[in-house]
Amino acid sequence: MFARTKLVALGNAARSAQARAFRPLSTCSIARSSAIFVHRDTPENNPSIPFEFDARSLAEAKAIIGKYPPQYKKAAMIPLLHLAQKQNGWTSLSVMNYIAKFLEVPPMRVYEVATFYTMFNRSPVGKYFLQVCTTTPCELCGASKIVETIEKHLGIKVGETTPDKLFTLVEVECAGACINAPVISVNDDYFEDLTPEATVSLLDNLKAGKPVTPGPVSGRRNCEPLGCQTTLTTPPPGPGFMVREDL
Amino acid sequence: MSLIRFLNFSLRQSPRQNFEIFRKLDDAKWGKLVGVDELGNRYYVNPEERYGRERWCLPAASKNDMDASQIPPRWHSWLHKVTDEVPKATAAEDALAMHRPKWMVYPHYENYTGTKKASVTYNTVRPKISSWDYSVADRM
Amino acid sequence: MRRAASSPLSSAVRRGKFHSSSPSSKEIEVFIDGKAVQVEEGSAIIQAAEKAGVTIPRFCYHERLGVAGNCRMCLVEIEKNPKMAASCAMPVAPGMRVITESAKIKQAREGVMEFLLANHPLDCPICDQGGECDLQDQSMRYGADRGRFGEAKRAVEDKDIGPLVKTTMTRCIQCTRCVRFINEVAGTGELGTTGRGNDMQIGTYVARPLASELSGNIIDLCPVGALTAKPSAFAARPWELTSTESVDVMDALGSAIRVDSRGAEVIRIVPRTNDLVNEEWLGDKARFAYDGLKRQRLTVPLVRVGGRLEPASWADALQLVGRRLRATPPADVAAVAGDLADAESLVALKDLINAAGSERLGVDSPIGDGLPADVRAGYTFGATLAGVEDADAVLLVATNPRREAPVLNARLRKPYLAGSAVFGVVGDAADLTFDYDHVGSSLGAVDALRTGDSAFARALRAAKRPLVIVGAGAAEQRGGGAVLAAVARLAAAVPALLTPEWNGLCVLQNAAGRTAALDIGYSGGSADASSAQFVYLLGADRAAANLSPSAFVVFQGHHGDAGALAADVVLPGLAYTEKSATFVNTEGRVQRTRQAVAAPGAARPDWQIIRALSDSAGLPLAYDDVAALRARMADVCPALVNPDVLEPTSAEVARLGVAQMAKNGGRDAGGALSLSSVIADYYMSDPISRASRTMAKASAMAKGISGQQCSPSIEMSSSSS
Repeated sequence: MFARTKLVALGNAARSAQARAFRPLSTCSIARSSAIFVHRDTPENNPSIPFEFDARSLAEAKAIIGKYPPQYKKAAMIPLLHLAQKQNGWTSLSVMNYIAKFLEVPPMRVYEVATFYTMFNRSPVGKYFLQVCTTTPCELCGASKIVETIEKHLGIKVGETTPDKLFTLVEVECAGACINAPVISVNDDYFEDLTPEATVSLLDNLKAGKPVTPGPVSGRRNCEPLGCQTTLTTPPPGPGFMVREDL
Repeated sequence: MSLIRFLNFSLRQSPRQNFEIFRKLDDAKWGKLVGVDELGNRYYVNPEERYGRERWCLPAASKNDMDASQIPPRWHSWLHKVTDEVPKATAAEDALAMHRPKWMVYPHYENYTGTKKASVTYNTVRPKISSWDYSVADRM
Repeated sequence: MRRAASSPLSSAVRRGKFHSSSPSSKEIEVFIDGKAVQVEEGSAIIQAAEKAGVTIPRFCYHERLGVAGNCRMCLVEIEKNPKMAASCAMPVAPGMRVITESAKIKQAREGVMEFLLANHPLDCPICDQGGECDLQDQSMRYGADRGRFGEAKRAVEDKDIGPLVKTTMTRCIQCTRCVRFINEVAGTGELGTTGRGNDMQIGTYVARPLASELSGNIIDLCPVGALTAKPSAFAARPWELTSTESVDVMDALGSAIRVDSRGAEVIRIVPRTNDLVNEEWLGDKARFAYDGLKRQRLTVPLVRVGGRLEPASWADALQLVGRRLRATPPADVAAVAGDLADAESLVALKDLINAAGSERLGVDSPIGDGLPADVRAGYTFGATLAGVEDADAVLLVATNPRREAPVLNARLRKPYLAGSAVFGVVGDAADLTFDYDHVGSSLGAVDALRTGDSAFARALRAAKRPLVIVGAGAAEQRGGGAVLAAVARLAAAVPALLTPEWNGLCVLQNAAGRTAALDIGYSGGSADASSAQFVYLLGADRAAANLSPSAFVVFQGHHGDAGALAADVVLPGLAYTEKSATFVNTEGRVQRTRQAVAAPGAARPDWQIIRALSDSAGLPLAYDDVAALRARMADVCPALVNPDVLEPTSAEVARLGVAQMAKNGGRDAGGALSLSSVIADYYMSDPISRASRTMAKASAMAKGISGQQCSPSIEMSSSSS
C-alpha cells in the first residue's frame, strides 16, 4: 500500500518534471483589444466625410466650453467628443478632426484621447448599442446566459453588428449596477435584473420600435431588496444614541 | 656548426668565396657547381653534407635583396629533390629537354608583393562619388 | 497656428498657457550618495546627480524635453522615504539624502529592464541602433541575465512617417521622447500615443508623414531602434565610422555637427551639442542632404570647347583663366561669392581680384541692392541665437525662420511656450508652429507699427526686450533697401530695441557664406556681374542666370548646377565635409569645419585653386600655406581667426548699423516688393541639397502635405458660426 502510494507520487513528480522541462512558446492566450489603434481610410470612415455640430449640439458645446478658461479650452475634449458621438452615433475620424478644429488643438491630441477611452466607438455601431456587463457580480447572476441569449436571438457574436445595422453587441467590464445584476445597457439606458426571457422581449420590442422602459425588469423600482425590506425596519434612533452620558 | 666542418669546407675555396657564402647564407658551405640559372643564382651539390643539405644555392642578389622566390621553378624542383634532372641554362634548351609548360615564365622573376611592382587589379567597385554630367549645351 | 490680429484670445490670456515652473536661482544643498551638491531649487534629483557626477540610468528623461516619468529606470532611494522615487520627476528638497546604489535599487532596475525587454524584440543584429543603443547598453549594465517572460511578444505595425525617419515600432519602449519632441520643440504635433495598456503605440493615427523640418532629431532621441534614419538604413555600424566634429553650412546658423564617415563616404551627419547655436538639434536638410555630396560632383577641371565642356588638366585650365584675367580690362573683372563659400577662399579671391585692379566683388544675390556691408551690426543677428529666448516681443519681417533656420524656429518657440513673448509677422502668413499676429503683408505694416494701436504694436513698443528679425533675402532683392529702411525707422520708434544691454535688431542670413563675405569686404549686392566681361563665380549659382553672353565665366565650386552650366571654365573645389575652412554664422560667430573625407577626383581646396590661379595670372598672392593665409585673414578681418568667439556689438555701433540701413531707403523701390521668404522649398535650397535624392523625396513629401495643415488653421469664431 505504502509502496504503491510512493510509486504514484514518484510518477506524478516525474510527469510534472517532464512538464516543466518542456517550455511552450506561449503559455496563455494574450488578451488584446479588438480595436486597432491606427486609422485606415474606409468608405464609411475617412476624413472627407463631413461632420459638424448641429444647432443643438453647438449650443451645448458652447456651454461646455464656457466652463473652462479660454486658454484651457482643450479640457472640454472628452465632453465634446461624447456630445459629437451622441450626434453622429459613433466617433468617426471626421468627428475627431472637427473636435480638434473646434478646440484649436492638433488632431493628434484628439486621436490620443479617443483611442484611450473604450467608450468612444471608432467604428460604426448599430442603432442599439448593447453593452452586456460580464464582470463578477453580473456573471454570478447569469450574465453569460444573457450574452448567449442575445447571440442566439440576434444571430451575431460579441463585437458584431446585425446586418440590418440595428444592434451591436459588446461585452463590457463593470457597468456599476451590480446590485441589479445582470445588466445590459442599450445606448444610454440600463436594463437590469434581466432574465433570458426578459432579454428576448426587450430585443423584440426594440426591433419592433415599441417603447421600452429602462430600469429593473423584475418589478423593483430602484435597488431596494426584492420582496420585503430586511434591514432598517425599525425607526431610526434619535440624537444621543450610543453617546456617553456625560457628553 | 662545428669547427671541423667549418675548416673542412672553408679551406677548399678562396677566402673571397668563403666570405660571400658566409655573408649570404650565414654558414660555411662548399660544393661542386651544378649550374647557373637565368638570374645568375649558382647551384651546388655537396655529397659530404648530411641528408637534405646536399643541394644548395648561392643567390646572385645582394644580401638585402635576396629572396626565396628568386629561385626559378625548375631549379626549385631540383633543389628540393623533386627531380634529379638539372635544368638547362637557356630557355630553348630547357624547353626542349624538360617540356617546360607555357605558363612557366622565362626568365623567372621574383614575387613583387609588397614592392612598387606588385600586381594590382583594376577596381570593379562602382565609384562612391558620381561626377557631374558635363555634356551640356550652350550657355543662353 | 496662425491667428488674425483680431483673435479672440488676447496676448495676456495666451501668456497663461503651457506654464512651466518659474525660474528660480536659489541654490539648495542635497546629498547624492553622501556627496553634497548645490543645485537650483526645483531641479530634479537626476539633475542633482548629474552635477554630483553620479550616473542614473534613464530612458524617458531628456534634459531638453518635458518630464514624462514613465520608464521608471531612474528609480532612486531617498532616505526616510519608504518607497523609491523616479529621480527625473522628483524635485530636490533641502537636505535631501539620495541613495543611487543599493541592493534594492539594483533589483528595481533589473525589474524595469525585465519588463522593458519582455516585449522588446531580440533583433539587435539587424537593428541599426545596435552598438549605440541605450537599451542594449543599459541591459548589459543594469539588467538581469535572464527574463521570465515566456509568452509571445507584442508586435506593432510600422508607421510610414516620411522619407527621413524609419520606424520599427515593435522595438518601441514607449518612452515618448519623440512625442514630446515633436509637440514641444518642433511644435507640429502630429506624433502621439494611441491606445492604452499593452496596446499603446506611438504614431500619427492617420497615415501621414511628419511635417517638421526637425523630424530627424527624433532619431537621436530614440533610446532604442524604433526610430532610425531611413537614408542611412543598414549602411554601417557605428563602430565602423570615423567621426569628425564640424560645422553645418546648410543654413546660416552654423549648427555644430558630427560627420560620421567611412572611407570616402559620409554615412551620416548628427548634431553636436552647442548651447549657443543649435542646442542639440539639427534641421533635416543639414542632417540628410549629405547624399548630395556624392552626386553631381565636379571632379575634374572643365573647359568649354566649341559650346561643350571638356575635361582639361589643372595646368591648362588655370593657364587659360590666368590669360583671360590678364587680358580683361580691370573695370570689366568681377567676382561673385556663392552661398557656401568659405572665408579662406573669399579672402584669396578678394586679394586676387584686387590685384587684378578690380573692386567688383559681390555676393550671390541676382539683381538686388544687397545688405549694407559697412557696419557689421547692419547684417548680423544682433540678439544672438541664444538671446531670442529672452525676448518679450518678436517681429518677423519678410522671413520664415521655419524654412530659413528651423533650429532658430524651435528656439523662438521657447518664449512662446513659456508665454513670455508675443509674436508678429510682416510677410507671408505661414505656419510657424507658434501663434502670432499677422501684422501685414506689405512694408506699410512695419511703418504702421511705429504709431499703430493694434495689440501687437503696443506690445512691441512697450516691450523691455523687443526683437526684430529681418530676412536677409528680402533686403537682397531689387529695392530691398526699403525693407531695411522701414526697419530702421521702426528701430527709431522702439528705443528698447537698442540699449547697452540689449541689441534686438537681427538680420537672419540664409546662406552660410554670406556673413563672412560681407565681413571680408564683398559688397552686399551682386557687383553688377551681369555687365562684366570676366566673371569669377565662387560657387555662385544664382548669379549665373544674369551674365553677359560675351563674358568669360569661371565657376569654382563643388557641384554641377546653374553656375557650372554657364561657365567657360569649371574649377572643381571642395564641399564643407572635405575641407577645413572658416565659416561665419548669421550672428557673426566664426567657426571652422574639419575635413572628414578625402577630396573627390581632381578637386582641390578652394583657396589653393585661387592661389594657383594667381600664379598663372602673373599676380602671385603672398601666402603659400594656411597659416600665412590665416594671417592675411586676420589683417582683413581680425574676427575671422578667433573661432567660437562672438564679439558683442556695442549700442553705438548697432546704431551706426541702423543708420546705415536707413540710408539705403532712398533708392527706388522698383515696383512690388516681395516680403516672402527667399527659401521657397526648405529641402532644395543649395547645390548640395538639390543634388540629394533624400531631399528630393522630402521635398515631394512636403509638397504633398502642404495642403493638409497639421495645426488647425480655422478660427474658433468661424467654426462656430
